[in-house]
Amino acid sequence: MTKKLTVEQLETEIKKIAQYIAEAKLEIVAISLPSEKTGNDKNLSNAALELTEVVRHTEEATNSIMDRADAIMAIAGGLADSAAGAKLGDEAVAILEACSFQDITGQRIKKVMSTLEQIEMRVGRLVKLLGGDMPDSVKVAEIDTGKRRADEDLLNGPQMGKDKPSQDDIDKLFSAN
Amino acid sequence: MAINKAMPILIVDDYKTMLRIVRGLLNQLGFTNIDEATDGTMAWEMVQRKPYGLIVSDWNMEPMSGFEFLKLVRTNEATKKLPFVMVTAESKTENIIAAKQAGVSNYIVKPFNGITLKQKLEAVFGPF
Repeated sequence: MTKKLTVEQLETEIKKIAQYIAEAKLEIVAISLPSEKTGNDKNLSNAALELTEVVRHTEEATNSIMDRADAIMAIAGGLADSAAGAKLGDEAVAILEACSFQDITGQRIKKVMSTLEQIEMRVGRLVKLLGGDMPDSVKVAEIDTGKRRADEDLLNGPQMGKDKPSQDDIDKLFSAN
Repeated sequence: MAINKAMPILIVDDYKTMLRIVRGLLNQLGFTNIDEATDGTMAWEMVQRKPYGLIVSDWNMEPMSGFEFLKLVRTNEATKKLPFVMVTAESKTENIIAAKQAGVSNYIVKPFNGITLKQKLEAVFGPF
């Protein structure tokens, strides 16, 4: 036979729940606050900034590599030994082709940042639902503005691992349809 | 369709490094008359002002994607037969089918190399 809670026990439990909700609200708000407000740099805004910096740095480095590849091609074009020049030129082109990694990594990072934005929007909505307000310094858009890109469902970004099709796979699909 | 290596080509991508790579590979194939756009909206404005012989476009761009740009190109009387090659990281079956149904001339998945680019252009224009 279950023991009935006393009024005092019920009061204690309700207070614990209220305390838990108050602490959860503070933690949720802290996720989106800049580190200068919390003293903690583990937050969504900083994470997005870090990722933006990654894209910027890889773009700079890639441009530098491509500048060198262009310089090598120019040198290759002027060599007396045309066979050596052609081989050098081919290697320079291969360097250029390899630089497309920056586009792929940039797209993957963009996907992660988009996910972070979604999380931040939902955090903001949760704070509002819990009856709190986000600080003025944190601007959180509404979750669903109703705006959708026309081809939203077709935007998946680069595929990963074993799911990634080859150009041959693409060609077969293209020819079959 | 025989290829004219002097024809104006429009390359479209929101990543500047990718524009540089595609331009470099096209240069290697002998094409030097190349313009650039960074999204579908800009590309569409350029296509309406100049008679391009080929478009090479990425898909995932904002505010207008390469797919939306392709559909615009295909609905316009002056550009509906303009060779349009999609070069993109989007590689799911539904992407290929959607692009084909929208009238894309060929489809290259990133990352790619100059040999693949040449093969896909030759599939559109014939050997060169």
